[in-house]
Amino acid sequence: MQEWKRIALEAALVLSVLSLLSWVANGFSEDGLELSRDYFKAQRKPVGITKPKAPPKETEGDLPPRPESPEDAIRSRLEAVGLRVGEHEEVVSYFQDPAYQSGAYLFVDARNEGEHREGHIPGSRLLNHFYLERTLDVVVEAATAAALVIVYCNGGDCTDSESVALDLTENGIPAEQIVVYLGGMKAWKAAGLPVEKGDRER
Amino acid sequence: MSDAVAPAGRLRRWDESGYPALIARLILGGAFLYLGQAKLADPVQFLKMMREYEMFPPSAWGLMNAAAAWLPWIEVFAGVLLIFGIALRGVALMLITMLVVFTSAVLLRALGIFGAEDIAFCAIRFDCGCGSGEQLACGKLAENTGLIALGLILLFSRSRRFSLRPRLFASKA
Repeated sequence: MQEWKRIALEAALVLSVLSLLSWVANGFSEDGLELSRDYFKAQRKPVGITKPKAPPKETEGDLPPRPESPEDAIRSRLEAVGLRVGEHEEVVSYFQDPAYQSGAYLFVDARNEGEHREGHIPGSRLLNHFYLERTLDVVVEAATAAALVIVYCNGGDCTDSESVALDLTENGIPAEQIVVYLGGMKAWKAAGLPVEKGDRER
Repeated sequence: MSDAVAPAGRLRRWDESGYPALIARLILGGAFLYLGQAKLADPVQFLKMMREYEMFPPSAWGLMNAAAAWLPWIEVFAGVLLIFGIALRGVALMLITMLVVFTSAVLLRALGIFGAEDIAFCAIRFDCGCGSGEQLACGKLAENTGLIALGLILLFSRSRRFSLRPRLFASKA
């Protein structure tokens, strides 16, 4: 009995010391998480917004009713905060517009550094929601100068473009000037559009 | 502290050779060290993965951040302790408890998918965020069961061979 008490005590001590060390290590690590930052704020249903009227579907058999698709969910959350979704054709037209070269449109890549390096929409700038401060200043500067900002991530159910769009509004870019390209890199590549590799020099 | 009876004698001698505990702690420690550093390679990815388990209510985001920041590192540290042979049985108890929680979480998620999709249980595959990438849920569950077994060997082993400081608190040897 004595022996098991000793083991339990040892486990408790190890847990406490290692836990403390773990949070310290996270704090010192360059990629560490910020404990006090609400990373998924954008994905929470805004208060006071009622659920989009889901037609009471007559389900066949015993299948549960289909939940709304992730894309629909993002769409309705964006609308609730005054942001909008840009369809594929619209986004491509900005890219092909000669004014793109002069900075009238800004593409913002909301993915991470590695993904950005592997291939992004030519001319786009990286803004990683989880490490905002790394490029926020340059991006806000370019976004302020542009007439329209197009934010994208990988497409599908990725919500990083949504988060970054919200970050931009919180940093002074008006919501009307922001478009979220939900198709993202996946739709872009699937359409055979050009992709740029590497880092953009700042 | 006297053990049970005669049949346990051989088992005990085997344990006293020190090899079962050594092998158990190297594999278990190595596994945790590897899986912890794999998570550390992309902390944000791990945070996102953890969020998918919906273990914490959305309002408890602070708790989720703390857990996601904590887990990879404690896995690495615990792995190191095992490899060096420090606080063996205490670490084993802690890791078994953690493994039981993780395994239940993976099992619950696999059962959720099983219930929602028309698919054989052992054909379910997803990235559990464990650090081992996307894999069959069945395989992951088997792996974890193996790790728990190794933890149990360590927890019950009385061997102190090949270890730096097997127990933190000295007692009558």
